[in-house]
Amino acid sequence: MNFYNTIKAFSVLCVMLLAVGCVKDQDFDQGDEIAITPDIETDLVYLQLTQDNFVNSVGEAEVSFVSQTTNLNFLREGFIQNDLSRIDFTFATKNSFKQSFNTIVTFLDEAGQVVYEITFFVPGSSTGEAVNSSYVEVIQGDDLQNFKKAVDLQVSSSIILSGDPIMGELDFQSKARLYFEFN
Amino acid sequence: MGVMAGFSCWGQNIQLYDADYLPQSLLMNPGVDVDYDKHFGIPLLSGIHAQFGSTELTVDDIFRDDPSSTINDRIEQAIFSLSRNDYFSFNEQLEILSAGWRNRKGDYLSAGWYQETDVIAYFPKDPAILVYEGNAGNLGKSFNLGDISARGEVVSVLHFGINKKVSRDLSVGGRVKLYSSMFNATSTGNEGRFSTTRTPDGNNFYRHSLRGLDASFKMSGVDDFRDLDAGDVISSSLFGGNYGLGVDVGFSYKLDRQWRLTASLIDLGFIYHRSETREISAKGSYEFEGIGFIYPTVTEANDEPPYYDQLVNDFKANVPYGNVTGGSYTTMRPTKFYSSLEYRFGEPLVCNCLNPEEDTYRFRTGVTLFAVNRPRFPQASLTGYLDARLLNFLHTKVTYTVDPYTATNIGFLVSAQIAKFNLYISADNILGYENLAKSNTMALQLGMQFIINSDN
Repeated sequence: MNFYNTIKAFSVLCVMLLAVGCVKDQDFDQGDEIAITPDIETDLVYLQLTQDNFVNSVGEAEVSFVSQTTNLNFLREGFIQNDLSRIDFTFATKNSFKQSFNTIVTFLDEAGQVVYEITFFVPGSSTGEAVNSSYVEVIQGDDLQNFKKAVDLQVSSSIILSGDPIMGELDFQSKARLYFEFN
Repeated sequence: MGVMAGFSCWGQNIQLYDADYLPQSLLMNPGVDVDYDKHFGIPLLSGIHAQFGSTELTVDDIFRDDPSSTINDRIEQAIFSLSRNDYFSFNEQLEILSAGWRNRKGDYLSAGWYQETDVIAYFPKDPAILVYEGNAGNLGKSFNLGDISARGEVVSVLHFGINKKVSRDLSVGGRVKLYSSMFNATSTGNEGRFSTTRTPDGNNFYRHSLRGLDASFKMSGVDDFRDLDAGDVISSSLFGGNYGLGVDVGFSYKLDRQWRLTASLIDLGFIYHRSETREISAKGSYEFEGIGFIYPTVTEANDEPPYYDQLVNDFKANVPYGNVTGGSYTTMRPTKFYSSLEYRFGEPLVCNCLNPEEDTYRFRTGVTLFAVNRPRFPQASLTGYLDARLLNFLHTKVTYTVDPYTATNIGFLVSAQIAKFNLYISADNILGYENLAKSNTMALQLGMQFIINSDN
C-alpha cells in the first residue's frame, strides 16, 4: 500500500465513523416544553399579643387596635414577578383571651396603597383554655397579578371588647406556599 | 437509562497507552520503550483528541421521541435516578507542536506544546431536587449543598521529557511540564445543609436551617473568550499569568522475553492562579422562622422597627458573603495513573539472534489499569486489549474497557506507517456511534506526524 492509498483508507475510516455516528429518534423541540415547578414553603411573620398590649397598669383598656408593618422586598424580585403562579397563605392563631379578634393582613404597594387584604376572625376562649383556629387564603389569576405589586406586609388586630377582663395571650403564625412555574 | 453507559477517560484515548510505536504514548508514559529515533508532528495535526462522558445520563434519556411520556416526566425521572457521584465530563486536547529525538547517549528526548480543555461537573443531586420540587414536598429533608462540585479549565502546556533505557530490561522516563492556565473555574469541596422542619412548639410553622455552609466559586483568566482574537489566544495561553508546574514519570520493565510491566503517573502538578481572579464565597449558619413582630405595650411608643432590613443584616452577619477580585488560589491537576501488564506472542517480526530479548512479536495482549484523581474521589477502569501488527506498516489495536457502568465499551486504534509518515486514529465506545444520543461516552483521537527510525 502506498502513501496515497493509506490516506484514502484513513479518510474512508473517518467518513465511516462520522457516517455511523449519528443521532437518531430524538425530538429536541421538546425543549420548549420544559417546565420546572417547585413549591416553596416559607414562614412569614409571627407575633404574640398579651394584655400588656391593650390595658394599662390598672387593667383598663387603653388600646383596642395594634398593627405592625414590614417591608418584603423579595416580592419585587424577578422570579416572583415573572414565575409565581399561585400563592397560598396560611394563618394560625392560638387565643386564650376571652375576647375575640378581627385580624387584617394587608399587602401594600410602594405608594402605601392596599393591593390585597385578608380579614379573618379569631374566636375568643370561653374557658381561658387557648383556642386554635386557622385561615387559608389562595391567591391566583388576576388577584395574583395585583398582589405582585405588594412590597409591604401589615398585620393588624382589633380586640372585640366584651366586658370580660382583658387577660390572655394570642399567638399568631403565618406561612406561604409559593407555586412557581419556570418555563 | 444508561444502556450504553461508558467509560469517560480523561486525557488521551486509553488505546494509545502502550502503543509505543506512537509518540503520543510518551505523553501517557514517559518511560515507554521507544524504538524510533526521531519524530516531529505536523503542527496542529499531530494529536487531535475529543471526549465527552456522562456516567449515567444520555441525551436519549431526556429527548427521545416517545409520546408515552413527557420531557418533564423524563427530567424528573433523571433527577431521582442520578446520584451525587454521577458526573458529566468533557476533555479536548490539541497538540500544537510535538517533536522528539535521540541524543548521543541514546536517551530519547521529547518536547512539545499542547492545549487542553477539561471540564467535570458532578450532578448536584440535592440542590437539583430543591430547585425542581421545592421544599414543600420535602419537609424534614436535609439537602446537602455540598453536592455542588464542578471544575473546568483551559490549559496550555509546554513540556520536555527524557526517556532513558537504564538496562536491557528497564526503561524509565520523566517529563517536566509548565502549565499556563488560560481559564479556570472551580467550585469543589463545598459544604452545607439546608432543611425545613415543622416546629409544632416553635414560634412559627417551620424552622428553615442553613447549617455549616462553606461554599466558594473561584475563577481566573479570560473572562470572555468571545472577545479574544488569535493574538490574544496565543498571548493568554503562554503569558496569562496563571502558571503551574508538573511532572510525569513512568517506566517499562521487561519481566522476560514476552512479559512487560509498565506504570506511569501523569500530571502530578499544580497551577497557581493569581491573574484576573475572582472568588465568590459564603460561609456560616442561619436559622429562620419568619419575622417576629414586636407589638408595643400601651406604655411604649408605637415604633415599627425595620424588620426586613434587620433580617437581611442578621443573615449577612451570620453568613458572610464575599465577592473578591485579585486574590490567589491553587488548583491541583487531575493526576492520572496508568499501569499495564502485557504479553507479547506470535511469530517474531524481527529476530535478533544475538540478543533474543530484543525479539519483537506480531501480537501483544494485556490489561491496562487506569485511575484519575477527581474532585470527589478517584475513578478507575480496566481495559483489556489485543494489539496486532497486521502488516509491516499497519498496527491495529482493539480494546475492551470495563468500569462500574459499562459492559460494551469497545475501542480501536489503527496506525499506519508509510516510510516516515505516520497516521493514526483511535476511538472509544464505537458501538455508541450507532446512535450517539444513547451513548454515555465518545472519544476520538487522530493525528499525523513523521516518525523516523535510523535503521530504516
